[in-house]
Amino acid sequence: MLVPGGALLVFLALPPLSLLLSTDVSQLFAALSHPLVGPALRLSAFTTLVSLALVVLLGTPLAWLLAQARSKPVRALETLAQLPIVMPPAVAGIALLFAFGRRGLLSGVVYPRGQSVAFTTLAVIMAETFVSAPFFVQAALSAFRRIDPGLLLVARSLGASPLRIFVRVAVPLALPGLAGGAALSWARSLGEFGATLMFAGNLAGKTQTLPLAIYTALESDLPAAQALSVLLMGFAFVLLVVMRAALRRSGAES
Amino acid sequence: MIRARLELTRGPFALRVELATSTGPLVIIGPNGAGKTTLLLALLGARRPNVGRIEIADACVFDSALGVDVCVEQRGVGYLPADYALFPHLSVAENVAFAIASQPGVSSEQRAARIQEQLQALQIGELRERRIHELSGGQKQRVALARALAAKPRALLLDEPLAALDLGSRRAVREFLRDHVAALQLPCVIVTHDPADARVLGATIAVLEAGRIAQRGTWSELVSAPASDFIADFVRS
Repeated sequence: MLVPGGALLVFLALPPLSLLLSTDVSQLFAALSHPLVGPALRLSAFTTLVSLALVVLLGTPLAWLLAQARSKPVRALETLAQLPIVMPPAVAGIALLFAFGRRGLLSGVVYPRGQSVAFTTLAVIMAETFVSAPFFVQAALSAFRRIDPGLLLVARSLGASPLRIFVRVAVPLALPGLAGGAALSWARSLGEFGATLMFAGNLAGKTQTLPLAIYTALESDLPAAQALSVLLMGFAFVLLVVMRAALRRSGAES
Repeated sequence: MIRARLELTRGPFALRVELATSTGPLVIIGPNGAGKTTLLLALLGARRPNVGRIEIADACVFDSALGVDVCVEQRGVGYLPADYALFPHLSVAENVAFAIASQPGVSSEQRAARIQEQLQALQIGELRERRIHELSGGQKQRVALARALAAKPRALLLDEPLAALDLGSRRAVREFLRDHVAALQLPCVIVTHDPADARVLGATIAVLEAGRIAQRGTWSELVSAPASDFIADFVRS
């Protein structure tokens, strides 16, 4: 047990450790002044924060509705909302093109004059939202399902409207789970690569997020790619810690 | 006043009940699975009977023939589940405020006054700012009662109101509950599996067995002429 288990753990730990150990701090700061870095950093911060806001604002009501429904068709909708989790990112990018691209399914409706959202910053946000939302919805759904139904029934018996129950009872009680889901979803959209490349391209300052900048820098400037990677990994690690703390709290309180 | 006549089937189980109570508690006893909680939930509006009619305080809240089915939010029925279902993220005062804030046209001064009044009526004014997890079982029950009464219900349903308490505190809480419920002048249905509860709380006791009311009467009537083996065992224990 110890040998195979330990082998996997070493295999999982080795790449991030190597990345960290082969970077020295002065080199890291020098590389961060590389011309690719600033715009990619700003773009990633902007697009992932917008997509996080969209995911939380739209995903929380969706998860609440799904959590309350019991019927079979609703279960099917839940599966649909999970689909992007298992969809390969490149496939997600192509699918977004087929939906919202210049010749996509909705092009006649959305772009009567032939322009398209593809290869714009908005496309980056859409790709990030598409791939990350299911992670949040899933976490929110299970947080809402853990709420004691007796609390919701008593709230109704006190005359509370559905909106009031959602705002004053359901969301506060699910908050740790929602925070954990938001952290997971943010980490996923920060790392988004495949769907963004397919649907938004790799245009510096416009659609070139941190992962795409790493890919671009790899060809010309390895230290810059390395510095960006360390940066992304560090932030992802923080999100992981936040997420685990939040999910532990939501588990303990249920 | 609560007056109900209802039939409710779920799979092989069928509940067929007629009951009426004016002010004062009606205690429902019966073995596990007899349908006691289902009956409470039907009165509350959380389970829909197949056929029947339910009247609460002279208003019809359910009538299958007329197509009437008033939702839980508008029935005006206070409900205390066995674990009291207090909102764990709110303080005692906020729990009570939740019931008042749901009513339109109540100013914040009126609300504060009513919270205080309600807490004092249940002798828990000093618990105002406490969190729920800091309360004893008996205190939780009082907060749950205060919250239910703050909504000005027309009837009260209590599911196993003493089951969550340890044996030591049960007697005192039971007597408090009896005196308080009697003073309310509200129709009240109390479900219990504890003979002591039935004896102390209930002027009238209805025995529910396998979805039917097997006997109805005072404690002494049940003792002198039990209609079934369950009732005979129940009053003797």
